[in-house]
Amino acid sequence: MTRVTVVGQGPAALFAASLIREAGHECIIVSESEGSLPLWSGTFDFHAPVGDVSNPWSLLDNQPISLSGQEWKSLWESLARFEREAGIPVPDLLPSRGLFTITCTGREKPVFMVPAWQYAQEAAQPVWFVGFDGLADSMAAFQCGAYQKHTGVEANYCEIPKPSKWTPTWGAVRWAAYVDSDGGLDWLKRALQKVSPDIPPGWPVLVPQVIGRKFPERNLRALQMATGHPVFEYPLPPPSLGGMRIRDRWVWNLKQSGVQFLAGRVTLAEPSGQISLEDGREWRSDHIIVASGGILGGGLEISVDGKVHDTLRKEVLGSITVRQDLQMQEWGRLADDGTPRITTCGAQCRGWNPNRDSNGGALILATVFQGLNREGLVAVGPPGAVSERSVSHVE
Amino acid sequence: MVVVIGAGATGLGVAWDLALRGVEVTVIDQSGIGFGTSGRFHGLLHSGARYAVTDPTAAQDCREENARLRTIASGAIEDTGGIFVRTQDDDPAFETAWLEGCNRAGIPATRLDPQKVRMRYPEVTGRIASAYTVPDGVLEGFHLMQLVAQDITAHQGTVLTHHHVSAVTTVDGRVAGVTAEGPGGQVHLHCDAVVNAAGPWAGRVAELLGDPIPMHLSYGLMLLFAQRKFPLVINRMKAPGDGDIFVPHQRVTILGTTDIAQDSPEAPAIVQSEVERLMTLGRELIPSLDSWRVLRAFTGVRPLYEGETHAASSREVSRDFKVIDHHARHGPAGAFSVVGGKWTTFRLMAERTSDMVAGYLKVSSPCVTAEARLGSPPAKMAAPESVLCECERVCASDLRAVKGSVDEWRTATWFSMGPCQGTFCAHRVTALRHAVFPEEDPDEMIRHLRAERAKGMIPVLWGANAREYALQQAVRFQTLEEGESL
Repeated sequence: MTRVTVVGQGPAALFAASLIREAGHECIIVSESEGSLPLWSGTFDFHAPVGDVSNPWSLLDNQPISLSGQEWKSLWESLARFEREAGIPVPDLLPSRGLFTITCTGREKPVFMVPAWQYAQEAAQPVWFVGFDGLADSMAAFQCGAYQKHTGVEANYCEIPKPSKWTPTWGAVRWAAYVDSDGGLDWLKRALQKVSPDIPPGWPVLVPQVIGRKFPERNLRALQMATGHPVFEYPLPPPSLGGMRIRDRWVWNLKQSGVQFLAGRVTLAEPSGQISLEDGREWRSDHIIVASGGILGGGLEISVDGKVHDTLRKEVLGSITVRQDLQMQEWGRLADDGTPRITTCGAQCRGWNPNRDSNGGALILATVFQGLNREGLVAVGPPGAVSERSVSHVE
Repeated sequence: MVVVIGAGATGLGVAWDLALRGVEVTVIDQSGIGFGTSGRFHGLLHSGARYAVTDPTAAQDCREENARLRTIASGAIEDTGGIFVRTQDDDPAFETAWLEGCNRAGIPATRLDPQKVRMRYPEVTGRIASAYTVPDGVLEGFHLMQLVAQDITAHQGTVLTHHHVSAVTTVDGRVAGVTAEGPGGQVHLHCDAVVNAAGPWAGRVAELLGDPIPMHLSYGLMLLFAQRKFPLVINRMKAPGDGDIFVPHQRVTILGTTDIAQDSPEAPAIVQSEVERLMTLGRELIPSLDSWRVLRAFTGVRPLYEGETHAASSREVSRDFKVIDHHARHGPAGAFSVVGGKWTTFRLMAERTSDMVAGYLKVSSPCVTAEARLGSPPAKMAAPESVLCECERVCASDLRAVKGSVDEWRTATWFSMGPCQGTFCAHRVTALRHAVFPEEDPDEMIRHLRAERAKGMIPVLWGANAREYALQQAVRFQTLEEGESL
């Protein structure tokens, strides 16, 4: 059996692990930290267009890495399948149009694949914002005003007073634990019932994304029953419950499928397949995939002189300036002297902000696809469509 | 009535001094309290040892004022002490001169065992040749300016911020009034005298007085590092130069500084090569400097005076500050400028200036600031509310209690100035600000807050700060859908 070690446990690492398991290989995930999923609400973006563009598939040419439409479709379907298998409520069909969610500051944020708990719409429509007093990022009055100002669409809001158990130490995770509890859900149901007569019929009710960590579907259903309105969450800045739920379920699913998760700091990753951890453990794999998260994830470090260092291999990879993305796809290829180097994917292939242009999802799919193909581990898409030549950088 | 132009340390000091003498006074500033040089320094309360060789008068002034300020404003001063370290690369002859200078100025310098210094502060270079303690301290500039401003108000004085002086009117060759443009339109203040304490803008104000003064502007670059790396000030024992001082300012450490001439009174954009040069100099004292968590870089403009000695300047006054009576030159009667100087000696500068103004106004009451006591602001109430800025533990009520612009909220509470540099609080404060002042444009405000932080972060994008910047970019674009990249 082929043994693959994936370094990192962000979305690129988990997606790679799912593809590796699906192809029937053995997979070990080793990571020093919990990965980037808990930072974000868990939507996967695909250069979702700003403005009214009816078909995001027509924007394939604008992607950071150019793949064929078939390849993109197959990758998105794989991601959706893995998420659904893990119990994450993503839709069966990929969207045919760009979607927007609404941020806590009332701005429309382009999104592509969105779990059912989070609000997303094709075009601006009237909504009712709910703010929780005592949750710093829930700023309903401001959010509502900004949404109206920027969309020209009607909206309204209310503020729910703090529950009696609240203390100033409550962050998003503590709020979610409270809503998961019977007492917390009852409190929220009663609070929303009180305001529901004011909410115009048909308006969706948007609540901050703290409606439970374990039982968000149950909790949202209960709130819909209580109010008679569709109830969705709006995303908050990190730490983000949406991403935590996805991580919890996806990791659990991978563990059940036999993927081994190790916690530790990798100090050596050799093209030969040798892996060493700081604590002394070491093993050999047939393949190594590095998804250690780039500058944000800690897989890359910038020194005082602006040089970019690979933290695993202690190599200087080049230098970086502000606004610049690293064109690291090159790093995954064979070097000129024929020395095989390590295959990388995800944010390890980009610069300051891999999510710029709302393209974080596309970056993950394309780089994982490229990396696994390079290692000869999986073939996604129609036969013959996959070759190194077809994966070129178009920035 | 006296109008003082400039609400930095010097201007506030002059207004305070005059107010305590019973003179009616208004201090006026184009932006907020301490938004010029006074808010952009390393925080050192000089013992005077830094000038012991090169500027004996300044050294003695610093020693005296250092001792006075500790009594006057104990709430804004931290008695950290400081050490001077001579490395094996520095001139031993300077040490002899320095000891003589300290002795002459009355600055107590006590010899330390270099080995013990090295044991106690292992991050300091192993190449210590000798070391001494001196009574340096740390001055919390914004805090002290707030205390002075409060005391001005308590003595019937007025602090008028966000008003730009556009004209000084005279009648029969005597100052009669000041015109200023503010957010509510033009205001006219009648006055008998005007004091130009505008720091780097003093040259421009002097032009309004019809008597230009030659200013020599230069800027200093400083680097701010997270954490209090040492409990005391660390100086390098050599002629005052670049990159030779580390100041523990509350919970951060500041490395200063450089000296580069410039024309504009505005703090300039930061040049990357200067940052690298400052790091190189800093490393000579702290070899592990690259591993410190850098937060940001900032610059401050030194308003030095380049004029020839003038009759109005006293022999007692240190040559690094000057009080100018414009009537003795080409200007109107009742117009005075105070230029140059040090934060540490702001009270002394104010005293000398106010003596001259009081003489002109025939006010006989003497200066009493040396005996004054500035209290501390009331202790923060532990109200049960959520924290908006987690790095600096700032709540909505802390912000609402501050009068003024969003930048005044920032300098009074330090919100957005901690390790995350506003990543998680800029939007929260914008929302609060919008609730309190609905007429302000929130889109413009968040752009302003982000740009202000980016200005200091971008020149120092390495290590954890580079990672923080990547997080900030991702939060802005991924979660908040904030505008274009920088």
